[in-house]
Amino acid sequence: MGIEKMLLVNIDGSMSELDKALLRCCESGCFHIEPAVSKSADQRSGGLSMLSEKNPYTPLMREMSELCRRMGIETDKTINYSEQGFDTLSDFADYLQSLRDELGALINERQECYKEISEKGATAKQLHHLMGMNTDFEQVFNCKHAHIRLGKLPIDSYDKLEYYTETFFFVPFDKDKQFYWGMYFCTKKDKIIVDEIFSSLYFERIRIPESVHGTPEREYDELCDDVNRLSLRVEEINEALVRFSEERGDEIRRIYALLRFKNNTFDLRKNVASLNGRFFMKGFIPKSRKDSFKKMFSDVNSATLSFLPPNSEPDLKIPTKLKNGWFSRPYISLVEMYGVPVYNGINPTLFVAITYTLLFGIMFGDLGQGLVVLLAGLFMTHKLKNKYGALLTRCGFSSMAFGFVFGSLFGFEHALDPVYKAIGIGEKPIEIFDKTTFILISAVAIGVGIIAISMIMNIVTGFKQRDYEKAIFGCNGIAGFVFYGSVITAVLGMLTGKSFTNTAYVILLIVIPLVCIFCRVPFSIAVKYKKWQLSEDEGEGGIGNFIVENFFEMFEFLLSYVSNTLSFLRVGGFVLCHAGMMLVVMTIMEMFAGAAQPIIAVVGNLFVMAMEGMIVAIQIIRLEFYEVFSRFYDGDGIPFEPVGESLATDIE
Amino acid sequence: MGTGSDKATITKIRAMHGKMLTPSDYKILVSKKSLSEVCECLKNHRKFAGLLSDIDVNTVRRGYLEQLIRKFNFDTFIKLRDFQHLKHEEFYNTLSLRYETEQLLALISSIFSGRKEEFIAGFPPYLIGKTKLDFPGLSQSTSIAELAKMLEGTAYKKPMEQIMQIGEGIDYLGCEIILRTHYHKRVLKSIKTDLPESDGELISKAVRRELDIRNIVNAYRMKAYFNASRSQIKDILLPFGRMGKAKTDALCECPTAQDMQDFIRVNYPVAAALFEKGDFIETQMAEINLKSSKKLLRTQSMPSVYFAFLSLCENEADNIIHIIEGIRYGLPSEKIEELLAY
Repeated sequence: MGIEKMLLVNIDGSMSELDKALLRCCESGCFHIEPAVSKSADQRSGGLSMLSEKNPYTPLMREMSELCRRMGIETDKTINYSEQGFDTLSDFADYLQSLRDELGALINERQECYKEISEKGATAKQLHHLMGMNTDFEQVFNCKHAHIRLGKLPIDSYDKLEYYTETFFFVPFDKDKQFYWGMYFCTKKDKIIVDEIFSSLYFERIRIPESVHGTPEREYDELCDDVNRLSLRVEEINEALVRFSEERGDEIRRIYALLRFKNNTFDLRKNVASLNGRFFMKGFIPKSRKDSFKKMFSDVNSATLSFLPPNSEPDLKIPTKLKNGWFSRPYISLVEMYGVPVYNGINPTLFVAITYTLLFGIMFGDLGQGLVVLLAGLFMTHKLKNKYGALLTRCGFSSMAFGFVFGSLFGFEHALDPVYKAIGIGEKPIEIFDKTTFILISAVAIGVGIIAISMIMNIVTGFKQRDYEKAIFGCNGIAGFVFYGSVITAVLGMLTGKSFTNTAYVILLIVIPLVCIFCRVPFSIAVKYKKWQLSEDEGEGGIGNFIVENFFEMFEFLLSYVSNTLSFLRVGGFVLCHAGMMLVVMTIMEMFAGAAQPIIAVVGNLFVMAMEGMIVAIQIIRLEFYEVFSRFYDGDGIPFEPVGESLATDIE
Repeated sequence: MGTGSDKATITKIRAMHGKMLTPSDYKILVSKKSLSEVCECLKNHRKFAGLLSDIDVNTVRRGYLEQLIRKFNFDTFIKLRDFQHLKHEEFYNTLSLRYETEQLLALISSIFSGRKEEFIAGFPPYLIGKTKLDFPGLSQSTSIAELAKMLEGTAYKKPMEQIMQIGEGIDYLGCEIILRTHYHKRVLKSIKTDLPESDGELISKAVRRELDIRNIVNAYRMKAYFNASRSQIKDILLPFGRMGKAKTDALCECPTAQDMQDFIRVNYPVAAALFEKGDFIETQMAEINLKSSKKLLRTQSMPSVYFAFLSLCENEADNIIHIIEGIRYGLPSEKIEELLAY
């Protein structure tokens, strides 16, 4: 558990070896690139200019990506990006041309088929509404004296037709929710006026394609046949493409991956600056990789690497790389949800891993249900390759352990009794409904412990960052810790009847820490700058302002000590809630006959697992973020993103 | 205090009001560039989604879309009326009455212009079967006298007789004033007879104020654009307003449009807002009426809420039509927005 130490690396070399240098950076998998000239340093960059060339690989990559998409080749599953014989841009262009030659005809034909299917399908849909016509379109449109229009008329407008005395007919063939589908006809000499009338009635004309001649039924059938024939052809083409993908898919994937790698590597040039035929770039690497990184550049003859302390350039924010063991690694995503710690901060992942697992086990304690969660976690890890699987596995195990303590197996509260007898305990260690007070007090005690540890972490971080207000005088610093600990000890003493508070205790351990918290800003200024000042900004407000402001802040701090501690009551609450919900399931089960009981038990368990599991998971995240992280964790850091690693992730 | 079913209706209306277009919806709508975009946007709106679900946004006609929206409002009010079993109370048929009057005027206009087909084309089909007048039959009339004869057995006998009494000088404007006066008379009478006194008073106040505003706008226009005389202005004003005879006379006697503005600012401050935005006097009128309707909507009187909702829905339909028209004529979005009252 910790944060990896970093080094700032400046690399410069001949422009002719830039690609090689970038490649080495990517291959190293540990180079976090930064712009060679930061925006704020533009004025003093000493003539360095950032490279801003157009990436020549991008159009090829886009075309190849589109080709892969059309062939159904999953480019994201490419594993390796090394391919012989593909060094220059023209190698890729030639390969793409060969693919075009082989597949272009098939893909274009399929596109044409799709277009035709779409057009014919739309015509068929319209013709379907005209089925009642029973006359050839050719005959209809060839009438010498009659003017005919096919289309749809709003139902409301249909009712208005009787208002007109002009000679025309509207023959509906079909009706849907809003329209009558049909045709109107009139003599050719009345054409203009009748068209105008129908236009005013919002008649929408259907334009029948010239290829349609027969009756709507026949034409509809023919169109359907055409659509089916075209669909079959599409299937044939798809099969041919699938065969091609099977035969050449891996090769295409590999070459595409290489092309994307080249494209992305070229994109890195926007972080590189040049001057007098030499390139300059910089970035961070983990200190532990210094030697191996240096070795990788042994064949880049012109390159010079200089390693500097990470804080050498104040403009650059040092990235954070978290170090985590196997147990805490799955919890990184939870921590990152809040934010990455700053470089000189503290890595809270192990603490989160322990508390999250522990709290989940307590709140969701059931041996059987825990086993299900554990199995689900294993399934997700090994079969679905889901990163949350490992987290579930740990939580499931913890849930099983506490389930054993609570004696609960899928809600059967006495199913484990023989086991306890066998191991010599006699009965289950904790009978939930008999020990509610104990459970609630224990929950608060756990909360006190977690809050105290959070404060200690804050003190450590404060000292690391030389922030004395945070470390010593703040509400989560030494003063806050002493105050909180003393109050808790005093309360414990009062509850157990062993009161050991006296005037000295109150003054030393309660009043003085409170004064420190109240005056945390001037005290920290005094320690840091050896002078007395009420606020960081000189002249900001007077003593009155200082007292009012800090009075309310003190009030808020004191309130938060109480509310944050009591917030952990929910841990005990969920223990009771879980047991209560399972009791309901058992009661419902007993109300039904034998055959229904297993079904109710299964459904009930599934329901409780789904609902409560989710709520518990969310509640613990809430506890971690509000009660714990708010005390010591800022999450203002930036993650360490080595170029090679991100490219490899892209490719994979 | 209303009855239980009144409260149910009020709740229903308030829920429907909550689904209406909001200012932000209007801002989105005015930014659209074509009818199909407007239609698509309305199609995704909770109020119009059901109405437009089967409409092809690419082929829909402007007039048809407007007709569908008006029909939707009309159907809503028929449903609300029937929900309260108030089919036989004339007050709850106000919308039908208004549409009847509008259509009679359209028919008269088509008779004067000799373009009967224009009336049939513009006639809202959803009125068929919903009004006591036989419009298909009436549309066959070729003269005002013939129309008056056909309307003999209806509530329009008297106004048609008044129209016929004008004799040779009969014109559309004269017919309009008589028919609109008749409409307002019926509405005010129905408010008096069909509604409890307290409710009636609220609504009647709102109707009379609306009439005043309409009269002021008409008088101002006559003066500003045609420099009409006192008697010409007086002839076009509808009765029943709240302004009183003395003030109305004084308004008509104002020598210039500017004097009219000054007179209104002093003597009828509610209408002063009409002149705040220069050319957009119609929009300002709609805004004043909208304000009054929103006020009525907040009351606990069911007829007032019903009446207010009716005005709000009509205003919403007008806004949508302004947007569609604005887009059709290529107006910039800020100009279209100036035409809207919301």
